[in-house]
Amino acid sequence: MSQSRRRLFGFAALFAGPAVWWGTVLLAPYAIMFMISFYSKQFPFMIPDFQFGNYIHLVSDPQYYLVLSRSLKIAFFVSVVAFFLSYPLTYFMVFKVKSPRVRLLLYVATIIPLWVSYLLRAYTWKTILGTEGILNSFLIWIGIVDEPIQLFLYNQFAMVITMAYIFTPFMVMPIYAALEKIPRSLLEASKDLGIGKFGTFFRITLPLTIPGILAGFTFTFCLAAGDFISPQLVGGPYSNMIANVVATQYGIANDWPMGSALSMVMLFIVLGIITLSDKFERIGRLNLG
Amino acid sequence: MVNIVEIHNLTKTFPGVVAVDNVSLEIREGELMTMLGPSGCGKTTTLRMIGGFEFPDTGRVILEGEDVTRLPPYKRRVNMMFQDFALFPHLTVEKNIAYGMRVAGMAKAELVREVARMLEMIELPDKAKNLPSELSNGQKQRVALARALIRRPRVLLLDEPMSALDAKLRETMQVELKHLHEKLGLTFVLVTHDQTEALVMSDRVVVMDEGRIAQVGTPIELYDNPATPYVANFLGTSNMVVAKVTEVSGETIVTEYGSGTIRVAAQGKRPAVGSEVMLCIRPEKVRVLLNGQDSPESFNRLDGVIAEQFFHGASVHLALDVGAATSIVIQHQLDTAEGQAALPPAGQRVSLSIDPASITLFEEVTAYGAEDRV
Repeated sequence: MSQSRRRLFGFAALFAGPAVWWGTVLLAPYAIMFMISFYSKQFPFMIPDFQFGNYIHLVSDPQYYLVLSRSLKIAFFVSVVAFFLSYPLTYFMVFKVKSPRVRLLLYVATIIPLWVSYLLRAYTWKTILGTEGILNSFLIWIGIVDEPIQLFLYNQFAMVITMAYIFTPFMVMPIYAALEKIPRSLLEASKDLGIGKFGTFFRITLPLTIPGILAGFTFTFCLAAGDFISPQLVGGPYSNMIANVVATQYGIANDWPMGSALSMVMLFIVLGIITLSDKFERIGRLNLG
Repeated sequence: MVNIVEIHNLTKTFPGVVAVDNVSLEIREGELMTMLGPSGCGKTTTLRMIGGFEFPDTGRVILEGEDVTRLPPYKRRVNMMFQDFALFPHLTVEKNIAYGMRVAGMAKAELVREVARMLEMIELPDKAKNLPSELSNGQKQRVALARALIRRPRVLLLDEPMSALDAKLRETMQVELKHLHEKLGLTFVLVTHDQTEALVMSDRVVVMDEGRIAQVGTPIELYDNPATPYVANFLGTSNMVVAKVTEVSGETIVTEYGSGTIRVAAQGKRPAVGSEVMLCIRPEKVRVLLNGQDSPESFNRLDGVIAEQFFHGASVHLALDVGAATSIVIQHQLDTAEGQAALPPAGQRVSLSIDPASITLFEEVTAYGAEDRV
């Protein structure tokens, strides 16, 4: 009896801290946000209520639909660009770089921007893409254009480029892990069985890295879809993403119920993607056994 | 017999090491040849150069009269069974076996038939739709074998085929693989560091040492007439004792070892009187003379004291002190009804009998000691 009580006490002592932390800073805000999303609004106050007006408004007003679809579209392009940049790079690092030290150096060089402030990195692209920026100066210097091109900055292209750069490490890390796990003997066996380099890549290497690719896509897609800074810094007009609208609802419009409803929608989209990718990844991992 | 593979002066260097050093070798059609040696002796690198996974720095690999030295693996009719089997984890057993066959130009209907035939051969027809992760190691090995054999290679390369199996299964698979080799009449080249495996399975064995070939021969040749102390020590267990030459006359060399003398068949060797030589005495070729047993006049007689006994089940190993630096270990068959009870206890003086023809003499004295003989 006393022993089981002591065990219970130890259990409580160990987990009480994390439980309180998790409950107050993670679970409670979600619960509050979920609750508020059903409140009604009477400027400048919100009234405790249980009605679906906010959600109906979200669906009926094309403005929200537009922002939501734009967020998802940009997140998709960011993931695709990040993938096509990351996969060849990672493949090169894992299979072509012979020295383990050089490989580690390249890997760290790819990952290390994560330790630099996000804001700083987004600003960097402003100085690259701007009319007085590095890209335009270069193009003028080599004589391709006579005057600065304004097309580079303040549009969705700039957002995709910036976010693809910022989230590339999240694509590289899982793909790197997946590629590194492939036994070299499998590639040799494929060659032994009459399949050349390209065939081996598409039949063996690529299928075996699908779990890593999925994880990378999930990371970049979810991070990009909820991004708030790059639309403001490099996006220009018509580039508002869902996070910007949420911020506006809370801050400027003072419409917390609407902001909460929007946040909930975004939360469920992200949860859906994570669940889906987890399911696929599990299938992929079973195969690797 | 026709040589299916010829290796001429193959050398391969990796940063800091010469893996294979000027190796020349002929592999005959239909034989099961084993490359034997400790890790790092160059056997796997040699195999990989035959397979096309490594290219040599210098030298040539000839397959059926054609120079294939620089050809990639998929351009030579040689297939490899990998040490870890290298089955594709995302493909089912039948897809693993069929891998690459459509590209090789086999029609779909024929491929289906061939895969079925292979599954029949490896006795796993019910596992066709299983993934490799659902198979035991023994089953994985069979699938790897089928996957290599469906291509009808001229030579099958096997890289440490038994290393992933446990001891019991290893013996079974050795026999199975040998039967398969006899049935197919295909040339097998096998790499192993396990001398028992090499002795049991091979038609011929190549013993390798530090990138060079130490000796090539049938298992019996290597066991009974090792060319160097290295080979004698690597194959089977042996007493490697240093003795002093006292007389060289005709076909016999007389040496002094401890308090006794050992006569050895000269076999063309002519060491100087007074020099030190190394003798390889196989433990099972020495007899303990019990109960006044006699031995032929020409045999060596040694007297010694039983220092230790090691029971091995069917036999007992005796360490005998013959008044020299190292004791001699002998293997005594426990084939009589009395078994070990018939043996004198430790501390007892006994006589030994050794056939001079069963002893190999080396003029070089090396560091190969008397460890792990028991």
